[in-house]
Amino acid sequence: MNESKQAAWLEMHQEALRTAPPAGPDFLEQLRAQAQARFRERGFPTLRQERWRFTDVSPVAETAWRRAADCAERADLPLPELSVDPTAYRLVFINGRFSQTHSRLPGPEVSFSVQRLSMLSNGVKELAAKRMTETAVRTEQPFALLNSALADEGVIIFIPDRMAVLVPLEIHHYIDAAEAVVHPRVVMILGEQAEALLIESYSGRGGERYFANPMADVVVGNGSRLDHYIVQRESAAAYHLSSTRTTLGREARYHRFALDFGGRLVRHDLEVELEGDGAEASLSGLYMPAGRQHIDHHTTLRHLQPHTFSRQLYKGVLQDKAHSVFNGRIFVAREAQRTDAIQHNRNLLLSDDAQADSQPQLEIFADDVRCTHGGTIGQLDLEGLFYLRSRGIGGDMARQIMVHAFAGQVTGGIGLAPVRELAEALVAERLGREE
Amino acid sequence: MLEIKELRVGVEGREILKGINLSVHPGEVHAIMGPNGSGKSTLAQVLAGRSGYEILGGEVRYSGHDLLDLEPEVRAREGIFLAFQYPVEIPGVNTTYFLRTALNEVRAHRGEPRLSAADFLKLVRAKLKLVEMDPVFLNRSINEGFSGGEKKRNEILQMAVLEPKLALLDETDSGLDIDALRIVAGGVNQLRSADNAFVVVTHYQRLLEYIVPDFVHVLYDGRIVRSGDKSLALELEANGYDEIKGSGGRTAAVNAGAAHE
Repeated sequence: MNESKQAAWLEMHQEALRTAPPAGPDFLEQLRAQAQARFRERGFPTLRQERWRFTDVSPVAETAWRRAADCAERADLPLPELSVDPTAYRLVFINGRFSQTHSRLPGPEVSFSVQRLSMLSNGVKELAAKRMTETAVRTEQPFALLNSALADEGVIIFIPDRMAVLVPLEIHHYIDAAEAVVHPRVVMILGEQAEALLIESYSGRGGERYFANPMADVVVGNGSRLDHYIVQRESAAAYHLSSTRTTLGREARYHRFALDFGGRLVRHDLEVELEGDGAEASLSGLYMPAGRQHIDHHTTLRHLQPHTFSRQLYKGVLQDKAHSVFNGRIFVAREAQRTDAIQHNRNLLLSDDAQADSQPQLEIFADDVRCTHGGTIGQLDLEGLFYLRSRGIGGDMARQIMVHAFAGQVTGGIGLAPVRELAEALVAERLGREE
Repeated sequence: MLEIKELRVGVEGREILKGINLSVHPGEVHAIMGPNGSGKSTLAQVLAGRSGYEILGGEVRYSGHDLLDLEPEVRAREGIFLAFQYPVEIPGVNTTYFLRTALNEVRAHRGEPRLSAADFLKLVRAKLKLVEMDPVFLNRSINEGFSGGEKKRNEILQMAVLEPKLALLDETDSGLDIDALRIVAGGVNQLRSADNAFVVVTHYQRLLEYIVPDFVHVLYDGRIVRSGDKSLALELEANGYDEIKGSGGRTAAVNAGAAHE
């Protein structure tokens, strides 16, 4: 593959950003330049790289994506029901552009900030600059760099110390333009003893081929808690390559649920830094690919301080010729004594042609730790199926009951009722389509 | 009700049932006894429709149907119930939901309306008393973390809810202490009527002190080698299966010591 040709669209987009009127904050130009340089050094990942050997992104590298900003603005578009939680504050982006019509922002009376990258106030701007620049310098995730290299819009949220925002904050990206690319960015910063709920939701018009390259940058300060939900319902032809970098302070808690139902090729790179004593991360995911969908989770947990705690439960239900990948890396630094890290990845194959690859990767340098992992790949329990059928429950229904029960271990743990109900409905819908 | 003629069944190329003949009529209780490996459980499983068995010959008629042609769920809806020797744990499936779904499937098959959640709860609470089960079990996953006795009682609870015409009890007494055995048998006895029938598969005579059979059949090496009334069970209790094995012509090689599982 000719590398200069491969990244031609990238050059083009960089050029477009250089000549576009300066819309963003002053730090943005330097941030992009740094990220561009680092991305160029690495290039698009290939199957020859260990962390990418199951996930082929060459179609992304080889497509001449259009900048979403060049697509017609569709603020008046009759959209499908986008909202995950109707009571939430909501920022809706259509083809990468903010849609006032579909959004519901907090009023001026609130003392936390929800701002767009293109219109940051002083104070929040410095916080965003610091975090985004740090990420652009540090991250090894190629698509996080790509996001920074081409960033032009995003949402910056700041929750000050001792504030609990109980209304969920929902960011929705909807794409209906063919061959378009968007680089959604969210920076979520919680001060100390603060609390918030963040929902990222992604969807697109059915069958449209596009490339979503989101990046979430999360800081949970000392004693704070963030519940983070990702609801991915992209079009069946879409590429969704996401990155998340989360940093946890002392006694900070981060709970994350990723629901994946859409996309042709989906990859999540999640990096969690447990930087404070007693920090806790609980990560769950449910993915239900069908057809030829490919869904890949790569998680990296860095236990850097003592008494840090992590739990991971990722479950997959695979139909048809679907393929899933799970790679869970747990790094425990020498000083991170009493680390408690448990990781599970369980896959249910409903078809002989489906394939799940699961690998743990433990790198432990402390001696007083509890670190376990478990991975299973199996089919529906025939004993259980016969048991249900022997009571009069039909074969199809029995299979559905068993799959719901399997998925329920993840969906049942979702604290926010509207997300949980949506997850259960999506499971039912996906199973219904099977027949 | 049930007519089994010359039924021959194999598993993985090995013949397990070598020509079973059995007639069961409404109101009857049949006990099928025999040493381990004689084919008792296979018979119960085949009647309930478990896959993995090869029908080599013979036929089974049940209430006008060729039973072996029916899917397991259709057999259940037609009134066949198997109480499992090893009830299956199904994590994540709530017992109430399971029971109500099953009952409504059976009712739909009979042309009866579905039961509302409230009506179902009323019904199931009454049945719980029959097997002296705590209602908390209803909120748990099917059999998950249940003790052996609780699992067996749950089987009888399901039977009480579904009201089968033909109940097959597969080693229901295995692993039960005397109190649990008394409760399970008490539940079965209360469900006995002139319209339904029971086939009780057991290794020991013990259960038959509580569930008194009308007929006792001895299964050995895939065939019913003796039939009689309840006194046959007592005779077996006194003499063991050795005499049967001797008369069956294939002795100890198959089953030496197996009677003490």
